[in-house]
Amino acid sequence: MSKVLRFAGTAMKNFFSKPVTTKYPFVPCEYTPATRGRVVIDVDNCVLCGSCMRHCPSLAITVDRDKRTWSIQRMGCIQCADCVNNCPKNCLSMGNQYFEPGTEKVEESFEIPAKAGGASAGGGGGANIPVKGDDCVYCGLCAKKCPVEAITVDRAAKSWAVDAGACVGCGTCVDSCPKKCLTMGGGEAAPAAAASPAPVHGDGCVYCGACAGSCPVAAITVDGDAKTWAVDAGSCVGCGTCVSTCPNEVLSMGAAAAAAAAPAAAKAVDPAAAAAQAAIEADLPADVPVQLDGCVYCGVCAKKCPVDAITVDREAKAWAVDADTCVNCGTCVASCPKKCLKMND
Amino acid sequence: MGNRSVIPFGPQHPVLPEPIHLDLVIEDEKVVQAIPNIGFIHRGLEKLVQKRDFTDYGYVVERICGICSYIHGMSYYEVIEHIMGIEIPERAKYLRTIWSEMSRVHSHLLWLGLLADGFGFEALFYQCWRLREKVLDMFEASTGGRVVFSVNTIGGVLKDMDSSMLKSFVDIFQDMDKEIHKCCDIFLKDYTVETRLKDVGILTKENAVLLGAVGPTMRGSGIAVDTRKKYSYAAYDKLDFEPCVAYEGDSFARCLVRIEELYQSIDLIRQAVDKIPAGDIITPYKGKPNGEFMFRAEQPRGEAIYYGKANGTNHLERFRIRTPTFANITPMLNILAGAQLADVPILVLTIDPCISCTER
Repeated sequence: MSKVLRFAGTAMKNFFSKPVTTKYPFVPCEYTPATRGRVVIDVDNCVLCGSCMRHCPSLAITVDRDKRTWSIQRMGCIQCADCVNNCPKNCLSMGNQYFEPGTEKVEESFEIPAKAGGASAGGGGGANIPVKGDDCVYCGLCAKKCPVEAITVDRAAKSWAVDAGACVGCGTCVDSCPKKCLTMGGGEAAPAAAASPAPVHGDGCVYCGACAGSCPVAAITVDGDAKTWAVDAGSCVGCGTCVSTCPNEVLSMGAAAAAAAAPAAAKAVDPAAAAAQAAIEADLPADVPVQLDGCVYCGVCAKKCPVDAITVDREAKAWAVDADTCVNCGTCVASCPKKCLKMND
Repeated sequence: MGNRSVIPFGPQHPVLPEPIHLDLVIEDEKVVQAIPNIGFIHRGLEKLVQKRDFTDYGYVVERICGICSYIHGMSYYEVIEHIMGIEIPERAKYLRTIWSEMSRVHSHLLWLGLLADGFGFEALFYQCWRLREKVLDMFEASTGGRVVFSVNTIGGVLKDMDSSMLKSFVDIFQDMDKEIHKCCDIFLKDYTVETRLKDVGILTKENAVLLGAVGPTMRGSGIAVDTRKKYSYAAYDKLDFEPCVAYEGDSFARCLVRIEELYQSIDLIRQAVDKIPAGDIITPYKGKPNGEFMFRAEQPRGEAIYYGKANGTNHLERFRIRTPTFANITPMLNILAGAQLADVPILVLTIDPCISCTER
């Protein structure tokens, strides 16, 4: 064949054959069964564990346990299927239809119906108010020390009672008890208000490892194969994140490690520390976060800070924010499991 | 000595799909010097490794570039697997090889199309991309994605291909082979193409070594080095192939190497499908990576280097990629010096620049 007109054959063939393109949108596009189009959620199976939210590389998924909603920014989703691969309940899947293109960013929100019986049964494990042991002599010291007067002791009637609604789970009573007969481990107060008891592990665990993944200080070890679950009480900061993460709601804040509770309690009554805190607050410009009492130095705020402005030193029990770097976004305040941060005003 | 002037080339230029800027110092019609300027699409993806879990960062690596996507993703997981000492199943190795070669076929067909478009042969451009579409369809059927595949994971691959699918792919490639031959004959034998490529932009063997060219740019200058062969990874050590080389060092030689590699890739896919063993596709792993590793892979554009450093936490300390285009920019400047201004777009194309990769 000559050096010229080499393309002529192909050109003639194309000229007389049907076009290779389809008449989209009149002829709809066909997808393969494997096509990753968009994330689909089965709301009935979802337990709002938040595993998808933590894994999403583009931060497109938001799980709100309080409002019981699962939301996805459709335009932010990159269809990587990481959420699907990490869903412990297999309630997420990839549909093979792409989300319709548009000119506006779309956020889809799904209501997750409450599980019949499940939530209340699980809530019963939120044990972080004090319970009395058998050695009680009804001295009333705990009632005296309680910062919110939640404990009532009647020496004459030999009765001891705690108002679960008023209790803040600080653990001061446990520390002050001369007979060491109090433990943190009863009642149904909110897990976030726990002082520093380590989590305990109930029946029904599927060893999914969600708690280990969520722990800010990596104190939990889960072995799915050997079906073992362990918490390192020394590292545990008692923040309660694992309890709120557990998809099966089998975790609760249990037996108080008195030693672990002590620093938090001591800190609250130390006037020098309070004065130092006040000085820090006065020094900081408006709108940067300030640390209030109750900090367990879990480091979640430092981890979540988008600009790395917060430094947390667990050993030295030090918390600091670099006001120059801080962009005043408030992410730390929202993420604090102990709700001990606020924006300076 | 003629009149000297400076002509800006890019970042927006009809021939460039991605932004690179060159200041061309010209004397009459001849380029004396080219001064590059990159950094228009830096996205800070390497920094993101410190913010995403090591299990999730692979999906970010894949999205560094749409054309080199598969091998970027695979290499990230290879780095993590080497750090953690995970041996992936044989079948996963073969699957990675097959997908790597499929991505090479689609990348080279895309490049051939762009080259044809570069010298104004629109019909040939459509012909090449039409062939490429079949590869993308196969990718969609096997991985679920057309461009970004997200099919790798630590310890293996997420999706398996059954024997009927593998066989159908081989059949499709068999048919494509004929069509590619027909299409590539035009590149190799047509008079119009020849005038634009032959004896233009010569990179000598000495300069290729000196300036650190990689991939087809280097092999077009007569250096028979292929990372797949030299630092064997995935299942390449079990396949029979030799690096494709051309000796002239001009644009035509670089085009020839890529066309030869198309046939080579199709042959490698055929070999891999013949030899693929049955079995698992994923090895379970435990723990977090601690240590560092440097991994080399042969991208369609040349040798890419991946360096990862882990510290035993959920986040890697550093993940660095030296992309082939970055290595090929210096040889490109060498090619440009002395070229005609009208040839500059084609010469820039012949190194197959991928700026998204380069800037990350």
